[in-house]
Parts: sequence; C-alpha cells; structure tokens
Amino acid sequence: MFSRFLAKRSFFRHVASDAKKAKFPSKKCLSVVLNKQVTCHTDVIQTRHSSSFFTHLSADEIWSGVSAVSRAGKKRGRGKRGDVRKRVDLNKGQFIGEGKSNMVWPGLNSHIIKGRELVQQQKLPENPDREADLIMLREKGHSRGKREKLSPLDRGWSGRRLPGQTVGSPDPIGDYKFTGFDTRVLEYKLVTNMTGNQGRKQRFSCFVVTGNRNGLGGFGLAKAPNGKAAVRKAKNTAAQKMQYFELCDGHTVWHNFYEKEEQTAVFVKKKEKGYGLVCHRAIKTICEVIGIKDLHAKAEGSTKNVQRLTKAFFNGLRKMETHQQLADRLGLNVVELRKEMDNYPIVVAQPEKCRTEVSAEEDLEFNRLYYGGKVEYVRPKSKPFFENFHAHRKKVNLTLRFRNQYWAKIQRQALME
Amino acid sequence: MASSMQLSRFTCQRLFGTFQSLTRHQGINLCHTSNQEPPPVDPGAIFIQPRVQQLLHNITGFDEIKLHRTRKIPRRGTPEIKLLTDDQLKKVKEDVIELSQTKLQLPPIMLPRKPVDAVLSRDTEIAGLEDAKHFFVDISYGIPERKRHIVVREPDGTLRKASWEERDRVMEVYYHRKGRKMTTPKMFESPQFEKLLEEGKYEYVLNQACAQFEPDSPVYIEVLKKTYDCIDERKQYDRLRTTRHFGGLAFHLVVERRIENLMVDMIQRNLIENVLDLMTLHQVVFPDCRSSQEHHNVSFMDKIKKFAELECREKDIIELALQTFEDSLQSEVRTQKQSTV
Repeated sequence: MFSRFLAKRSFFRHVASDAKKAKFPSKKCLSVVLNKQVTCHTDVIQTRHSSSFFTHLSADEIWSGVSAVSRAGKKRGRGKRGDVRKRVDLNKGQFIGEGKSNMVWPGLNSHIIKGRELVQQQKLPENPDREADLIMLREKGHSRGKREKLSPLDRGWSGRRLPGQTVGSPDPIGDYKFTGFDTRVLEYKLVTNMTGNQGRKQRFSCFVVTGNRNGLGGFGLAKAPNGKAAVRKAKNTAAQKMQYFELCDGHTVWHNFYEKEEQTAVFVKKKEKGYGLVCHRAIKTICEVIGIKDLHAKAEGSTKNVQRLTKAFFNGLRKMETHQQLADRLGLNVVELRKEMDNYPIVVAQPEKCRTEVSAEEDLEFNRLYYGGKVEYVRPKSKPFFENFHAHRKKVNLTLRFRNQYWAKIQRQALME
Repeated sequence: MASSMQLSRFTCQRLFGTFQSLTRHQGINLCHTSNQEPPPVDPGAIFIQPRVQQLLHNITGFDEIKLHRTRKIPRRGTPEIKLLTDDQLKKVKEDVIELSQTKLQLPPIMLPRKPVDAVLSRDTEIAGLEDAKHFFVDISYGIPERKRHIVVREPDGTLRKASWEERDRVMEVYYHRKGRKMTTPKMFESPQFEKLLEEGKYEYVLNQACAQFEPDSPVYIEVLKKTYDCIDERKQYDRLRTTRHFGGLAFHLVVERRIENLMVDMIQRNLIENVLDLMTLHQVVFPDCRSSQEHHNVSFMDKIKKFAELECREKDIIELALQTFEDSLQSEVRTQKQSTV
C-alpha cells in the first residue's frame, strides 16, 4: 500500500502542474484557472486519467452542488440574503480557439476560404492586454459589495450601522427648505408581522430625530419594505412634528427634571458651559441635533427602548420652565451663585411681586424642584478590587511621600530657569 | 544646603535653653541692630492710622462687578440657583460684602528691614569639624513668626543669627505660605519683570509679590516702587481700582509728591470726592504743608485749585482738567433744562 502511494506521487511530479487540470476541447468542460491552456501546437501534455468529476458533469450541475437550497429552504427565504455562493461564469470572455498565443485556426476561429484564397494556419502577434482585459471583464459586475469608507467623524454608534449616523435634512415642503436641519437615525431595524395572505411580512422600521441646532427639534417613526424608503419617510414625519424649546443661555436646559415613559425613565440635570453631553447615546444625539451642548442625563429602567426614552426626554423639555416663569409662579427672586465669581449673587429673574415670607415646609431646593418628590439614587463609587491587598497597601505606603513630586519638580525646574 | 537644615528636635530645644540665658545677660536686641544715624520717617506709622486707612479705602473704590469678576478656578462646577425673597437676597449680598472687604485689605507698608548682624559666639574649638552650615530653628508651637529664633553655626565655629533672607527661606520650609516659592521667582528680575510691566500685568505682579515677599523686604519694596512708577508714567491708574493695591499706589504717590496725574485722572472720571480725599491724605502725610489751613465755605473747585497752586509742581494740567469738568457740568445742566422745557 505504501509503495502504491509513492508511485502515485512520483507520477504527479513528472506531470506539469498545468496538465493536472487539463482542458479538453469539450464544450461541457470547465477551466478553473485562466492560463492553464493545452496548446495543440507542439508538446501535448495529457493526464493519465482523462475523466474526473470536473469533466463528466456540466457547469450547472457542479454549481448547484456548491450552492444548493432545497425547495423548502427557498420557501423560508434561504439562499437570498447572500449567505450562499453566487454562481460565476468562469469562462467569461474565453472562446474556443482563442488563447494566449494569437493563432488563426481556419474553421475554428476564422473562415476556411476568404474570397478565393485558402486561409492558412498562422500565428499572429500576441495581444499583451489580453489577460488584463479578461480580468477587467470578469470583475466588472462584482463591485456591488464594496462601499466607500466612512470617515470616523461620520460614523454612528457602532460600525457601519445606521443608528447615530446623519441622513441629511428633511425634504422640502413647498417653498420651505429645511436649511440648517440635521437628521440622525436613532433606531433602524427589520420588523416582522404575520399576515393572513403572505405569511411573514418584513418591513424596515426607522426612528429618527431632526433639528436645527437652535432649539427646534422633532422625532418621527416610519416603516417601509425597504430601508431607504423607511429612512426618508421617518425624516419627513419628524419634520412635520417639530417643537421649539427655549434653551437657557442657548446651551442647556433651564432646570433638572425627571420624566418617565412606561418603564423608561430619565433624570436630566442642568450643567455649566464646557461640561459636555454626558448622556445615553440616544439622548446625546438628540441634544446635538436640538442645540443643547451641556447636559447630564441618567437613563433608568428599560434604557434599550430608544423610542420611549426619546418620548420621555421630549416630554421633559416641553414641560420646562424658564427662570422668569418660575419667578412669576413662585413670587421669588431667582438668584445664581457662581463659585468662579466668589458666589456673588446675580439676580437672573425677578417676579412682578416678590413674596416676603417663605414657610419652612416649602421645599425650594432648586436641584430637586421638578423631581416630583423623587430622590435620585446615586450609586456609591466602588473601590477597586485590589484596594485591601497587602501588595497594594505596601505600594501606597511607599509612594505616599512622593505624591505631587512630579509637579513640584516641574516647579523647581521652572524656578531654576 | 538642605542637609544643613535637618536637625533633631532634641538638640534644638537644648540650644534654645542656652540661647535664652544669653539674651537675658547680654541684652542682645533680637529684633534690631543698633544704628548710628537717626531712623528715617516710617511711612508705616502714618499708613497704619485708621484715618489714613479710611481715606485709602475711599479712594480705592468698590466696583462689585470688577471685584467679583470671573476667575479661572479648577473644578468650578454647576452654578447654584437659589429662590430667595428680597430680604434673603439682601442678607446674601451682605455676606459677600464681608468677603469683599478681605479682598480689599491693604498690604502693609513698612520701611525696608535693616540687615541682621549679630554674632552670638565664636567657638574656634569646633572649627573644621563640619563642612556645612547648620541652621537651628525654634519650631515650638505658638511663637509669632518674627520672634522665632533662627541661628546659624558656620563651619568655622561662629554662631550667628540668621540673615533676613535665610530666615525667610527657613521659615518657608517649616511654615509654608500658600503662593510662596522656595526661591525667588525669576519674574521679579530683569528682563522678565520689565516685560511684565510692559504688557501691563500690574495686578498680577503685585499679587505675586504680596504672596512671595515679606512687607519689609527690600526686594518687595523695590518691586512695588517700579510698578507704581510705571503705572504713573502711563497714567493707567484705573487698572488697580477696586483692588487691594490702589491704596498702596496712592500712598506711594503722595509720599513722593507726584499726585498731579492721579488727581487729573480722578477729575476726568468725575470722582471729585476721591480728589478731596487724596488732598486730605496729603495733608495728613505732610502735616506742615502750606495747604493744611482749612478754609470753610469754599467750593470744592476752589479748594482743588488752591491745593494745586500750593502743592503741585504741574498745576496747569489740574486746572485744565477742572475746566473741562466744569464745562461738562454746565452743558449737562443746560441739556436738563432744555429737556424739562
């Protein structure tokens, strides 16, 4: 048995690699690699075994063997999404009689008699671009999978997925063109519904938020059989449902608030200039689009439910009270104390008639005025797991005397120079 | 240097014991050295008078917005919003005004300190045993700064009192003051100092100087003088208004008898009361000046004119400024009459 194996191997070594997959002048045959042509000119290389599964099966049969989907599978929609190998005509651009060496075969690729003369078998000069042309021809249809690379600034929340990405401004309504408006996708998913007729009906659901970064904002949900249409419809729905929110100093909300939509709640906090948007990614996107630049928002409950989160947030924004409105409602001065100004009182809003007394029972703590009696749960900061390890304690004791030495050294160097 | 300042508390206390006995017997004046010439007039003695302090505070002004302007601080946080009645608001403002007063506290004016020159003993027997100076510092609790004993044992065996510079440095080691650096920052030396003055960063320089130096340090007095002279030259007095340094500036100019430009600046800004206060201050500093005799029932314009005549070198600019002020007053009165008509 071992000797037979050896003999087999030695045989193959003598045979040229081209001829292992030799092409025979048979219409039903397959050429797997481009250059492997058998020329019937001088040296003819032939394999011993002239018949293999490549040769006694048609191209259709071989391809169906690779990409088979049963009838039942087809009903379930298998083999449609691109999980199956697509059939490729590997001989595209190749004709019998034409090859690398440009030969004229009368009867095969030319007439036998031209006019009154017999056409002779002859070799014409080779076409140097033949290979390149063939490659180009074969790859022409295959550019569908390649998309333009997305710059990191344009990326959404994750990968190339739509949520978080901008989809332009809404379509103009009559004369009004939505200049300065930006729309961002918050949710983009495929949803299914069982119908009586067709069975499973799949549609794209798209939830977007649009705004002009100057107080105007609106959200919209739409569904369509294809993704593009869903996005377009949602964009235009959002444009129709626009609301205006007056912002405090043009950068943040007027006060802290708490809003809940079903099982999704959000604690929103007013923050100073330069704080940024420290929020759930959906709320961050909404703020960017409306024009809020500094905010803290803690989402609680079902935080995955973006639609409910958005509704809660918009409800809170709608119910916001400006400082002047608050002053008029309560009859008290609204006074701002800033640490960077030595807490010098700056009267931000004065009521028409100011109250003279305030009862002790009244809770006038501005930070929790709009929480409706709720108290926010602040999770205590957990210590690192190694906090009480012996090695860590030892290190802390050693390095304690060098704390601040980095900055002290820089100061000393500055003084020396 | 650093190593020489290390000392066990034990040896310090023992030395302190012998030290005290020395002073009682030999009567060394710990604070001052004996001087041959008579001491100069101490501006600090005049400065410290309550009347002078009041006048200087009046001149400094009280612009709340400038005093509490936004400063860069680390971690400022979200501004706090409070809902207050009018009375509560008033109280909050009063509390802040108390803080403002500390911000406007005038740094003391003193004569430059005289160099310390007191050798306590010359023990040549122990000469050459050490190769570095040793500083002995009394770090007992509760002793005022100026009364702390700091002595130096030189390698040649001399035991002497530490000089003022050495005192400052050693005190900084044991009793660090916020904002003070161990070595004098280069910003007080040329060319950095001149550059800062050119850029007009007077308040910054003066604040840093206040933090770094003692009020009787000659370097500090020199820095103040240069800054004030620069401001006077460029007539940029307004930069120091509503800061703690304006009083010092005004006092310096009064002592130097160079108050003309400041008076003109005040008249131009319609601060006539400040002009009168400045004149009063001049009369306090120089009690035997010619304008001291008070004339009652004289209008303030005439008072200022008289003062300019008698005391100032350049009375013309003051008279010109007064003239402009008078004209503007009259035109205002005229426009008011026209509007009522």
